[in-house]
Amino acid sequence: VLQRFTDDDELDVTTVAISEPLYQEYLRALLQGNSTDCARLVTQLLDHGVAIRALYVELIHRSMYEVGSLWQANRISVAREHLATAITEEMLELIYPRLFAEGTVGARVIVATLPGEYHQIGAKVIADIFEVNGWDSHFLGGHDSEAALLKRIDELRPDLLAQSISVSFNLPQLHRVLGAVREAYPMLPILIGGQGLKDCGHEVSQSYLKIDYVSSITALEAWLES
Amino acid sequence: LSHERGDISDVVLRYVVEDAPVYLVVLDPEGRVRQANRYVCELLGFDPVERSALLEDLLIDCCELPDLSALAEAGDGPKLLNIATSGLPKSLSFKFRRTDNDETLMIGHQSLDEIETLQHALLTANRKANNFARDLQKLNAHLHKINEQKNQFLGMAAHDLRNPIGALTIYADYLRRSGEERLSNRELHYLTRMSATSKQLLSLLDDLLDFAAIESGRFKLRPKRTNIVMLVRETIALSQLSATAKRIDVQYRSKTSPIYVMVDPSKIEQLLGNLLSNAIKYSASGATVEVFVAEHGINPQATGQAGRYVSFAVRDEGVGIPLAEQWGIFRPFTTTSTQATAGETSTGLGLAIVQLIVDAHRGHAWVASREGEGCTFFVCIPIEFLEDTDRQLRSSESAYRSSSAELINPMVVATYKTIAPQQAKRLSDEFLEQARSLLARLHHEQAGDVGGQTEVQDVDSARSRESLVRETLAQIQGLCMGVGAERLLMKCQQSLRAVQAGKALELDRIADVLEQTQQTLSTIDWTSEVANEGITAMKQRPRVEASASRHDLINPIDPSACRVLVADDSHDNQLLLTTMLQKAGYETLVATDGKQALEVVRECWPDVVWMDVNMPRMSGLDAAEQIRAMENGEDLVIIAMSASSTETTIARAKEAGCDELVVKPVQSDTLVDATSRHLRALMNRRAGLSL
Repeated sequence: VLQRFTDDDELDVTTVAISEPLYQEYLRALLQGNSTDCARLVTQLLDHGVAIRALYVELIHRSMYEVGSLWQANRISVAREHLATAITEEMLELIYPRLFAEGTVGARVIVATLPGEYHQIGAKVIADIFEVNGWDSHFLGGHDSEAALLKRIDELRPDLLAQSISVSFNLPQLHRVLGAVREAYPMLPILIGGQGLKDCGHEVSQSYLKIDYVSSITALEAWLES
Repeated sequence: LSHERGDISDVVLRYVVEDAPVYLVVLDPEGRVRQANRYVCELLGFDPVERSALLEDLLIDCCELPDLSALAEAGDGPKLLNIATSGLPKSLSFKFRRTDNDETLMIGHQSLDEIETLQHALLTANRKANNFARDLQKLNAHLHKINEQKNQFLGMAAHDLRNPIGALTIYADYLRRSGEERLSNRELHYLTRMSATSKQLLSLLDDLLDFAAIESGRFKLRPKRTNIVMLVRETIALSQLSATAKRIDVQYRSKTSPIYVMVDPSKIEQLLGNLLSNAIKYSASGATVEVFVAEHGINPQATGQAGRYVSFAVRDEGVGIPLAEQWGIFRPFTTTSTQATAGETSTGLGLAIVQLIVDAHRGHAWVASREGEGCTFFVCIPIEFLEDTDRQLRSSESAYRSSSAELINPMVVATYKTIAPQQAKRLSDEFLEQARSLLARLHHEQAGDVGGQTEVQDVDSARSRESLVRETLAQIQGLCMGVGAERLLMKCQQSLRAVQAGKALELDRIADVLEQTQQTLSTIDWTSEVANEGITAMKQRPRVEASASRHDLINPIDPSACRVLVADDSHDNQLLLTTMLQKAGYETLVATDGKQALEVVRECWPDVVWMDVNMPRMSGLDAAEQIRAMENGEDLVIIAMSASSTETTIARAKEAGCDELVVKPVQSDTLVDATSRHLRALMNRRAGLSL
């Protein structure tokens, strides 16, 4: 159930910006459902100028990965996992206003979750990575049909659509969305990614024109670079 | 189960009693709790058996207490009941069973499905809220960027428009002058309009530029220790030009002794310039605009420390601003219904710029006006605002702001009437006296209220009390409105409501305000004092001072009454010099060579001649010599212009009768300075001759 980042983003402990005790303190607060403490720690880190990417990879990603493992090992309940997810989303909203300091590359992207999928943290992080890299990034989550996505594309006229899928169970849904977008906007470049594509990302991307698969934050950054 | 598998039955029973989140209670026929499991004790926070609680103690709503026997016999349908807990109430589904010994078993549980649904709904709502917040943040960042772009655009547009419009002004002026003989009156009128409109456009653009610069944060104060009196008087001198054009008299009415303040002089000059140009814009021809400056100490709070402040006021005799339009007058793009007297236009930015500059100096700006009675703009800034620490600054600033309304409004009234200081004093004294007697009355009334409870119940007394309050309210209202003391008015109204509600009056607060008002009144004596002094000084000041002192700046020559001839064979130079001179308000004439210059001088007798040395047909120096040889030939100024400034050139120019030699190209400042300097000397000579 956890929206997980893929394994390419495994933490390199030699270059961490966030100390272990601080991380443990954050994780403890997260598991206890103490959003006030979490917010305090994140704000402190932001005020100390910690890179947004480090915050995402070393704090958000790592803690949610650990929450997922704890749930899989039956050591925490679904409710607690939901609580941690809700708090993490709150933290993302805390970080979000600080992203806009960057300049713009003049390109616009819509980052969308699949209609009906609940998990949006991963996609939000991806949207933020775009924003940090100077893109005009718009997140679309919590919508219930591909019509909402098409309407948003019509409004914003993005240069790119980044479509996430969090569980492979929803692959038919992904195909439906991609088909609808392709039909309406044949030339719109699309990126796909997310845990749901872990085993079949390249395969899916090859079955459409102008669709690339990115497997991780690192892969996305390489794509942006190129 | 209990018969065949006794061991399991024990385990299940123990689980239900000890661990399970199931509500289990055994009630006797009277509804008293005989047994309860651990979950019930935990929910309640106590053991209901120990307290011999009744069924009604366990339930919350109980509009009708369920009939136990009826419930037990009703069958299997679960009954939803709200139970009391140590925290929030819970809704559980209950079943009731009659036992063999006439007791009732009450078993309840919370619906997991319902909790699940609730959890799901909450999570979805939370996600949506997060996404909305995110959209707002995004939009906010976007708006911020657009605002910056707007300022950039304003700045850029204004800047790029300035030059072409400047060119339009110059060419329209040139066409008008050179075509005077060939063009019809209507055509000339059009050209005049063209040039006037371009000039208006230029000043609007300047406002836009200033505003864009300030808004975009490119506005930095460069504070210097400045003699504010000198600065004010210099600014007045600068505004004389436009004032004279409308025959408006701008007068400085305060002490001339210096007051030193830490301010950014260029910004304060701009601020004063805006206030003065407004005053001139809205004054009718022949009116007087007065400017006051004073240093004073206002005690911002009754117990706070005294601060040092400098205030200036610009008062006009225009039509005034209706009270309803005075609010927000310092906000950008606000214009009032008040019309400029000579059709001048407004961007609605002048006062917004004033406000921004005042804010940067941590000061305060306000207006006092009554329709038909002109208006007075006030600016008050702390003298040493930069030397305070931040903390002190903040506290004194907020204290100052909060109290300034009460403190300053009486001052406004007093200064408003500065032209008749005695009247002002009388008005404020009257105000104080009335307010005091009112306060005493209220005090008395309150004492009566506290002292005798029976009086309050007495109908007649209550009626007279009400009428007293009404009467006093009317008085206060009239008083407060008369002096513009809105906050005091508000406080009095609050107090009235309190009286009507039968609460004790906060008379101390009103007393406080009066105390503050009195303090302020003592500081406003400067207005009458300085006004008197100013008037006396004006009367005593000699008409002409020997040296070119400040006085010259304050009473400059009237350029529009002076004619200046530019003699130059280059059309470009003619255009350039005449444009600069006209900008300074002079009437100009042109000649293209020495011979023509002689003719013009003979016919028009200008006050000043700017004479190019090298011209065809007759050189400038020859022409100068012949002019000096004419009858009254000394009664004008001749300034030679030459590309070289060797000693021989200078000596030859003097020999030919020129007053000065200026090196070409002639800069605008030099042109205007030299013209006015020599003109002044000429006027003095003429005055001497006529005497």
